[in-house]
Amino acid sequence: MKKSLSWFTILLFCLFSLFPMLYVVSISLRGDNAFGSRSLALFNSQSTLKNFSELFLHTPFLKWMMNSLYVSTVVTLSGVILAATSGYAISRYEFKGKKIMLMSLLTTQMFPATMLMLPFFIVLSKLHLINKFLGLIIIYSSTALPFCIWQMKGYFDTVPKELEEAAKLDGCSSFQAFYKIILPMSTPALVITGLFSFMSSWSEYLVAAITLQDPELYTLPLGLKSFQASLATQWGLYAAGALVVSIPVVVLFIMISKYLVSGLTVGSVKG
Amino acid sequence: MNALELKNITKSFGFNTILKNVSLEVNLGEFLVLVGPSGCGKSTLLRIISGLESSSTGEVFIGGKNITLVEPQNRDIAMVFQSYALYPHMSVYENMEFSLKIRKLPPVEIRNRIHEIADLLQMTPLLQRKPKDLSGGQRQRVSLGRALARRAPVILFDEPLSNLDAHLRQQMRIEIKKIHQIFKSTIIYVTHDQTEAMTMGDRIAVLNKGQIEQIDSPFNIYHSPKNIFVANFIGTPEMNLLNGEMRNNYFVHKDFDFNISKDISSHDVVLGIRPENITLSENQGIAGTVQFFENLGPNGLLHVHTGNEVIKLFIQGQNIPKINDKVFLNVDQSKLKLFDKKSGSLIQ
Ligand SMILES: Nc1ncnc2c1ncn2[C@@H]1O[C@H](COP(=O)(O)OP(=O)(O)OP(=O)(O)O)[C@@H](O)[C@H]1O
Ligand SMILES: [Mg+2]
Repeated sequence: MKKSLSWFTILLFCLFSLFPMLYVVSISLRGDNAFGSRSLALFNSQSTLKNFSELFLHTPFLKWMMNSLYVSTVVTLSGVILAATSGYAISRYEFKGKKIMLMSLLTTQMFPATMLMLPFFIVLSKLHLINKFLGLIIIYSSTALPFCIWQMKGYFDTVPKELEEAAKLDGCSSFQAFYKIILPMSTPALVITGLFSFMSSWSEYLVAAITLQDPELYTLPLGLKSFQASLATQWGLYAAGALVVSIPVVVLFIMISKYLVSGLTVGSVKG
Repeated sequence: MNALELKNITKSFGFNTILKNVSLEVNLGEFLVLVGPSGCGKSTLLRIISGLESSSTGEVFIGGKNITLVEPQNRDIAMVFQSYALYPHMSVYENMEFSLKIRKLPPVEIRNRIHEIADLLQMTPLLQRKPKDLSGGQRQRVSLGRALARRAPVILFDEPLSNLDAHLRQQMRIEIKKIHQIFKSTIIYVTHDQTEAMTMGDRIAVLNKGQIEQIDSPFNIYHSPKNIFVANFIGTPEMNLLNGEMRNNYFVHKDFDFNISKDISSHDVVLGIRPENITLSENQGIAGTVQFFENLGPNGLLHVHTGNEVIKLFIQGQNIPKINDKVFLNVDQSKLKLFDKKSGSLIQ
């Protein structure tokens, strides 16, 4: 009895949070651009995949997707590599200015993105990086990195120093100890850091809007927004696009869910 | 030639001097046990030998070569860490394989070595497990195995058996000795455990506050301690240490005195006598009352109160005096030690 009650509660909340999602699905399947429809039916006799074919065949959606994928992948890879190496150095080595560096990394996180818009734009145009992916990538990386570095440092702090020492006695140089022992056992932290980098660039709109002006270079959020720009918003297309955009994120989350709750260091040292 | 030599090693952390002028020579294939109270610098000394820590001054030699400045990975020293330090993402087999692979040994040789050690340490069934799926004792065995599979000429052990139960500990003690006899590595073995020190070591080094108090065979460490610290530290139960004074061949204590046929000038001394070198007697000797009896199985430890002092002695058999009984103690003159009270060192 108690069990069924809790199941019921969970189901209720699931429906509650899934409802907007399902609504978007139903819109994307309607042929008639009927945003205002009152019907709650997910499917009806007129449901079609027309919006999706339209999206891929008659809009630059695929192009935008490749753009987004490119930018996000570069940001993720560089973010993970830089965060892992610098986080490790900060966690393990003492050097001058370490405290100040850590604090200033933290400080950068205190400014809201909107406040940085103008300086970003000025810097990018001075560097002739407007309308270039590189400009976007630099900004995405620099905004995501401080958090990623802190996250990796925090993780490495929990890894016992004896592991590298054992590796050294086993014949590794400092760098080998890092990439043969420490990195492989850090997969959970690396994956989460990577996910954070990916998410922060995949769905970002504001910075992309000031950096990229050529529709050819649009990333997905910009592209989606452009459906809205004309007098009559194509809600069906918009909904279909929104669904496709969210798919990679959902897939990523499912793929890495096992890492989100894992304690891989368990068992390496006493206690 | 010495397998390992330390010359005047001093180590300070900030203003804290942890090791003071430690010099040590270890012979090829020797099993040297390092004992000392917690915090006396045992682990630090091992870390300096392995190169994980640099000494403030002094030099380390291995096989006659000065390796003071050589990186740890180039020293060819294996170490069993106090905290295991197993690689958590690798199976037991991979943990043992890692160093051998780095050293580019042929795969067949690697496999043979791992299986040989796994057999010796009875952990063949564990080879495919990850460290997190092992018990504390099993982890400890794996970390032993990992060091042994290397067959490094010098192996350092930092309290490798501290987490095992008494039975397993005894078993592992024998295994380690066996393995030592097979591979003849030079071993420095840190332990808290008296029995381990006594049974395993070719020699024992007693470390106290960063200084070596005495290095000698287990027999000599036990029977001829050089000073009060060693006398007190080695042996369970501890040696009885009685503060007194020498006066004309008499040892004078607050509660008693007796003749000692040793020619020693008058001054303050500490008399040391082990519990097994005191016997009960009918009517003469040190008078006292029985305070407590500890049954240890094969024998028992009697605590005798003499007024200001409690003297402990071993007794055997059925005739155990009752608490508060009056007894007399006889000290085996040939076994007693006299230490200078001021310097703490052995007089005779
Ligand atoms: N990195 C360090 N910085 C400062 N002090 C240290 C450091 N490492 C060790 N010490 C100090 O050095 C002393 C000796 O430590 P060490 O670990 O060598 O003791 P130990 O004899 O191995 O003790 P135990 O038997 O408890 O393992 C301790 O007082 C410890 O606090
Ligand atoms: Mg220690």
